[in-house]
Amino acid sequence: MPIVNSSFTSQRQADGRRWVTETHTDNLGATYTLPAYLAAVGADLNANMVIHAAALADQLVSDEIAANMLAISVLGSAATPTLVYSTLPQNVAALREAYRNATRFEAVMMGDFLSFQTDARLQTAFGLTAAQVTALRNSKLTPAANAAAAVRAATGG
Amino acid sequence: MTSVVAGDRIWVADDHNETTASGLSIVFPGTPAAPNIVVCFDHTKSSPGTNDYLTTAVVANSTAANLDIQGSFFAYGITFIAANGASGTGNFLKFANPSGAWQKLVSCNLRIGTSGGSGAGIQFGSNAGAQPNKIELVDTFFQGTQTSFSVQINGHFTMRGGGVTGSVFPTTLFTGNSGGSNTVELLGVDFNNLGSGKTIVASITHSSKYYLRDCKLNAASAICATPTGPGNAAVYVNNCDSSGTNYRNETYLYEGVIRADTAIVRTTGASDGTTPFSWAYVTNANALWIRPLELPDAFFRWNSTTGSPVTLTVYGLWNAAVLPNNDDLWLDASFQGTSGFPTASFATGTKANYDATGTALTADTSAWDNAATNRANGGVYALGDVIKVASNAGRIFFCTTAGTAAGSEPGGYASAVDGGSVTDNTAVFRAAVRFRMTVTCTSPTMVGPIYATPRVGRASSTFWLDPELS
Repeated sequence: MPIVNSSFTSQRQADGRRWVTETHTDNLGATYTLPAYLAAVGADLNANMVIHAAALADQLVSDEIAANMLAISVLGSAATPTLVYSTLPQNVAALREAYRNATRFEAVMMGDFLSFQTDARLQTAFGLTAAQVTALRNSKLTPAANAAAAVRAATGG
Repeated sequence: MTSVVAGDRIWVADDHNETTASGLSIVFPGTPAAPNIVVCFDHTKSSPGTNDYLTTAVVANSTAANLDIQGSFFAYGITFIAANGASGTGNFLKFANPSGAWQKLVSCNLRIGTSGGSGAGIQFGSNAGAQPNKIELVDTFFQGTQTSFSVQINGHFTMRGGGVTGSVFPTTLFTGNSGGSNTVELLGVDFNNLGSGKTIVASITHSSKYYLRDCKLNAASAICATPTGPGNAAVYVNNCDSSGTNYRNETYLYEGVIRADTAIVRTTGASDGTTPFSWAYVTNANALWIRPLELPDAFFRWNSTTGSPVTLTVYGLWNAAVLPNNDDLWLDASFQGTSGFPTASFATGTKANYDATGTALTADTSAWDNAATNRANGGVYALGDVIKVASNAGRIFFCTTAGTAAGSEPGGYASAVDGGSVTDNTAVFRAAVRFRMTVTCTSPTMVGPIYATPRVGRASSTFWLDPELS
């Protein structure tokens, strides 16, 4: 859970509801001030804060995964995905799904990215045997890397 | 769809219940100029007419795959269900192609089934097309089976009526689709099912504007997440609430939030006729003098004076020890100052340039205690709580140190001036600093509207402003 500290201030309104502003701090020390929300009369603001902290933690994870997928689908082997909030298994799962819905170009770039991963890393990420990794390289990854290289080498004019 | 051409009408029987055991693409040949018309009707009628429209037709696919509806069309009374099978992840109900399409769905139900899985959702518009799509929903509902279900929009999207239905509701309803930009207008939509822990609009990392008007909210949900970039999604909320009010307006921007406040109000200031209110400008760390929190033309007045300067005044207060400067917040205006043309002229109330030094705004003595709560002997107060005392009428006091008030009112309240602190047993209160900010429009040349825009460049601060422009 990347959120390590949470606090809030609140402003009571004429009808008893409260405008609540929460501030959350993650494990890297970054602070996030959430947009104020209007809490119902009698709402448990502490419980809400816990819920919002969890939602923020999920958002940090999903944002990082989304950024990683975008980078891989555009940059291929030049992408430098991060694992600050998300885990390798989470990103691998996302890459699988992204590949299923990928355009041709995106699929080439994803294959290009994976082609530059070590056999050991591919085995761990996808639960493959060494032979399966070799087969995957031959059937998809190396052709994708070659296609990506051809795209990068192409010039206009 | 091979025998159908653009502009054709397609009648769908009310007992139509279609399920395909694979991914499904339905490609309407309709164009924006000649869309297809697809209507669910009473199949017992040989010549369906205006009274024979029904809403029970179903088109679904039963595997972990997408249901893709393409082309320009109008659809009435159809339930579309994607991925209504056993298991899967990341499947979509898509209304995304081709680029530049127009699609309108009335009284429809848009669902992701049980094999939609994690990350499933409904996609409107394509982020890869040359032109944006236009999508219109009327009395149409979203429904999913996972909390990760979301609606992703690219293009121009309007939704009138409808809402979110079912038994499992998304953590965040509207999320981004990589690339593209969108304008989303939500009018009269019922978001009541998005309760505690739910958010209506995500922090969308591409250019988007969301407008919510006259929508029903849940008392426990959040409107949106913090925009993470200056060009990211901005959310504008107009008269939306979870109860019978008509003054709740908010703006969510990268630099902070502008929201209505009913507890800190100027006594002779703005009211909706029943409830006095102010506008709280709440900046975060992103607000700068060169990039202030603002809602352009938020204040308006009809001007009948020409040939002479017109001075506009906005009253406010904040929780501090001193007056704010005119580079903390200021008032800008636009008016008709060009002879013979309605071209806007501009006036500003801030400092001359980035390197200039701001000067203090003018102190004010307006009463702001009309809606504040009376101090209570022995009361327990939290940081930010607001009270008033009869011994110092017109002023309000912010709690700056949480604690328990004394058994009788300390004498410091009666003599406190703006910005002055009062120790009240274990709590400490500070009298709000009241101010007014002005801007002068030099000789309008035409009778017409004058728009004033408060701008707040001071980070991590809150200013309460009376929306009544003087």
